Parts: sequence; structure tokens; C-alpha cells
Amino acid sequence: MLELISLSKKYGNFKAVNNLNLVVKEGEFFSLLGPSGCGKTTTLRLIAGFEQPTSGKIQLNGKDITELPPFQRNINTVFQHFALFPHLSAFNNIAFGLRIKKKKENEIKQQVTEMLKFVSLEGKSDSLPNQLSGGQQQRVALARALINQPSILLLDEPLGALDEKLRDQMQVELSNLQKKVGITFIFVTHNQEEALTMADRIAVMKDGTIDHLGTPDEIYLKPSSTFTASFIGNTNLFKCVIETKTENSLMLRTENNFVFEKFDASGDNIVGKNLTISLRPEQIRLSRNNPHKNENGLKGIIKNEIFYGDMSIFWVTVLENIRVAVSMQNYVASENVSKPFQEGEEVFICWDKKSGHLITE
Amino acid sequence: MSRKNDLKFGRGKSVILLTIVGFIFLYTPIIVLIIYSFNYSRFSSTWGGWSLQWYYKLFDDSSMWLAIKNSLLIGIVSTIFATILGTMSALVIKRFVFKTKTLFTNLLFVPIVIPEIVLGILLLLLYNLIKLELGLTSIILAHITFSIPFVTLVVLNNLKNFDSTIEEVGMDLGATPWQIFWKITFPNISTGILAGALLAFTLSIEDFTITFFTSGPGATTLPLKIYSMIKFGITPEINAISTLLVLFTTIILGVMYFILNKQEKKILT
Repeated sequence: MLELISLSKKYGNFKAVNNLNLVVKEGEFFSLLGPSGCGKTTTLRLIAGFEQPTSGKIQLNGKDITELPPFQRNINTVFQHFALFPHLSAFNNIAFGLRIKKKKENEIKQQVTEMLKFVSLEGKSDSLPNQLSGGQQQRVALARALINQPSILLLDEPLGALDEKLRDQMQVELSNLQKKVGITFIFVTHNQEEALTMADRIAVMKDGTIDHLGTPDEIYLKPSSTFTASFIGNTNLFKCVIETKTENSLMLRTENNFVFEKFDASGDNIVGKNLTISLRPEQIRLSRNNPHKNENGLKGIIKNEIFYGDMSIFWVTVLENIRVAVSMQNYVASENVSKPFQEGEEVFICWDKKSGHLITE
Repeated sequence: MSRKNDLKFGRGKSVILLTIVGFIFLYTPIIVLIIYSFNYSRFSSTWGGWSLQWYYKLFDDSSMWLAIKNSLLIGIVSTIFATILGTMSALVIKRFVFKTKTLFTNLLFVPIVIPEIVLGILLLLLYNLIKLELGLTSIILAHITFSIPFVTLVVLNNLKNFDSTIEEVGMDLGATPWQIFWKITFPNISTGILAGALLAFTLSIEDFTITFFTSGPGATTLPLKIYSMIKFGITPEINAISTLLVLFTTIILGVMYFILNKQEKKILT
């Protein structure tokens, strides 16, 4: 178990990490997610020991490791651009940690061979890093860290240097690998898709602190802030105020005086409270007809369609100047694709009264 | 890397012609020198047929051998020290962030730009001041002084291609700073260090001006010996020893070029 207690790191007046508290459980695949400059890499470097915190503590399995240099921590890192030793073969790269520990040469040989097999790099043991492909280098970097059987493996944007196809493949490989070895992985990324697909839990970071900590589902479906809501996936945010309230429903008024109903049985909300509702593009549908009874509806004009192949995003202007994103699967049954909606068309945007997530800030 | 275009900009005939003229200008004296070292005649104005006699004569001269021995000794010792110190300062410049870094870097390169004669005089004054007797030691110290910046420059250039995150990786994998230097940093910059050392050695072997000011009795180096021979007129022996010196430095520079080139290729592929 890794505990970060009131951890801060200042560079001059800039607080890269600001009073961060975090507990990472044993065997967890944990992701630190955030835009560049949010402090995620600094946090990782603090855990690895490359940086010293300005204040706060780091505890590993109950032991304070804040003051320990990197080479005395049982933590290993996979670096962003792999950072393999260019002068050493794949075998010797992986063997490095064991050699430092002065293991016997025949023991090293056996372990490294096993590890090469584990990451499917048999036959590449004599290759120099520049003779390996991106994916192979990535696996050498992983093997080089894993062979030391660290308590925690830190990964700093390890998929960032790979092309997209390979990245998708490595996402699956990494998460299988983590399950197999059972070591705690802490994974830093700015790519929300990577975090959502691989992590057990995600900490969304902003300005050196954690904005929202939760499972991928929680973070996507129930973001605790507008920042997390808009950082993870796309969303439409509307500021509103609670106009009236019944037992299991709220009437919300937007800044443009549009009033609509939202089912909410939580009872946490009082009349007059300011809220933001987050509506994902996939929670809204387009229709030429009036909305159903259990739906809210707004008339608008389709300004743009952005075609992504499997799906399209429609930008619809409603209430004069509000742009709303609506996504729609492109179901292509035959070769003649007829687009269901045209740019410039007048449509209703409809969403279920149950849909949408309320954020109080 | 820039791509070739079809505009033929700066690739006209005049450019080629000027290049050829430049090369002729540069290499004619050297070629003449080499040819005349094989001249049988005692006077350079007349051609007396091919001969190796001046080379034989050269090797019979014991004072010449002493000069060669001195030059090699000074070259080797000064190269070792200049390489260590130059490499260390390159590492400091690359790694450390300190307020006077730019000043430090520029100060280090001053010996390259100030006239050699000035550096020679300055060193002589210094030696007088600290009462250091002129001889092999004073020459060696002088050569270390002017070689350091060259070594630093070459190593620094090599360090540009060196990704220092691999040092962090080493630390991450449990290596102590000392182990990191010898197992990671050194193997990756060793070609640069070697190239720097070869440069320092070449500079030391061929230096005249600074050596002239800092040498004492019994510490004659090869260039000083050649100079003293010229006082009695340009003999074919001078041509012969100069030819050998040219050959020697060319070989060293060739080796250096080969090493650096090989490393560059390794990085690019």
C-alpha cells in the first residue's frame, strides 16, 4: 500500500503538487490522469524519488520512504520514451538491475531468459535497442523494471511514443500483464481513453491536486466537477438554478430561461441552488418529431456534422446561440449511405428526464 | 535533415570552381613539401631525383630522437590530464544548473580564442611568479591548460546526443551514482572522450608558440627542434620531419573522424 500524505512540491512560487493525499491499494492498476502541467508527472517522480517533496510524506507499506534515494526504493519506473540503454543488448538491459544487485551470473541468465519469454521477446536477446521496433522496446523497458519484482511499478506515459494501432494492442497487453504479475501499477497519462480502458481506479488531477478519484465508471458517469466532466470524454454543460422541486423531480432553469425537468430522488438539492448539468452527446438524440413524454426537448438547427466513420457528432444550435453536441452511430446497412440528418435542418434535441448528471460546485 | 530541392540554388559552376581553387591553395604547399622531402639534392631550388636519404639522416640524429621523445611524453601526460578535466567540466556544464553557468562556459572557451602568443606570455609570467622552473613540467601544465577547452567542446557535443534519463533509469534500477557513471554514462560518451583525447594529443604534439614560451633547457619538443633547424636554412631534413608530422596528425584526425562517424551512424539508424 502506498500512501501520499499532504504531499507538496513547489518550484519557486509554482505549486506543481499541492497538498496531495492519496492511497493506492496493493495490486491495483491505478492511473493519474490530467492535462499537461497538472502535476501528474511530478507526483510520479516524487514517488520514484527523483524529486524531493517540499512538504508531506510518502509511505510504502507503512514505512516512511520520503527521504530514500531512488536506488534504495523498491519501486521501478518505465519511462516515457522507454530510455533503454543504447549500448546494451535487450538481454543486458533487462539484466541491469540484477547485475547491480550482484546476483550470480547463471541465476541472471535464467531469470532474464524467463522474462524475455514472458514479454514474448525470445530470440531478441542480443538485439540492441535501435534494432527493435517501438513495441519491442516498450516490452524490454517493462521487463527491465519487472525483473526486480518491485512493490510498485510506475509508468510515465509509456504508450505515448507508440503509434495508434500499437497503442490499442499494448493497452490490452499491459492490463493482462498487470493481472498476471499482480504488482501495483501507477500509470500516468493525459490520454483519458488509456486510463478508462486499463485502470481500476483513476485520479483526475488538476492544478496539483486530485479533482476526482474513482473507478472509470464513476468518473465518466458521475464526475464530481465540471473539470472532470469536460476532461473525460465530451459533454455539454449547462448552468442552471433549481426553480421548483417535488419528491423525485427538479425543475431547472438555465441561464437562458429554458425550464426543463430532471428526475432526482436524492433529496440533496434545495430550491434556489445553483447547479451544472452535464449531458453527454450520447445521452441526447435528434428527432424530427416532438419529444416523447418522458423526454425534454428543444428545437434547434444543425450547424455542422463531423463525420468520424463509425459515428458522427452533430453540432446543433439551440436557444439562439447555444451549441450542443449530439452523437449518433452511423449504421451502414448497405453501400448507399443515406445520412439521416442534413446540415441546416431544423430538429429537436431530446433527452430523457432521467439523463444528465448534476454537479454542485 | 533537409531535403534536396530542384532549384540548384548555390549549386552553380562558379561554386565548384571556387572550391577547387580553395583546395589547390590549401594543399599545394603540403604537396610540395612532401615531394621535396624525397629530393636527393641538398637545395630545394633544384630537383636531384628521388631519395630517402634525408629520412635516414633524420633517424641518425640523436637530438631529433630526444625531441620526439619529449613531444610524446608531453603529449601523453597532458592528454591524460586534459581529457579527465575537460570531460569533467563538460559533465558539469551539461548537468548542473547554476547562476554563473553561461559565464563559466564562456570563460572555459577563452583560451581557444585568445591569441596563443598571449597565452604563452601569460603562462610564462605565471611561472615566473610562482617560481616554477621551466622544463618538461611547465610545458605539460601549459599544454593541459590549452587542451581542456577543446576536450570539453568535443565531449559536450557528444553529450548533446546523450539522453540523461537513462542515468535516472540506472538510479531507478538500484545503481549508485558511481555505478551509473561507469556502466551507463561512460560507455555512451566514450567515443566523444576518445575523440577529445586525440584532439588534445594532436594539439600538444604540434604546438609551437606556447611551448616556445614555456620550455626550458633540455626540454626541446619536435616543433621547437624544427624551428631551431630552420635558423640554419631550410634543409631537406626539415621537409622530411614535417612530412612525418603531417602524416602523423592526418592519421590521428582520420581515426577521430572514423570514430565519430561510426557513432553518428549508430545513432541515426
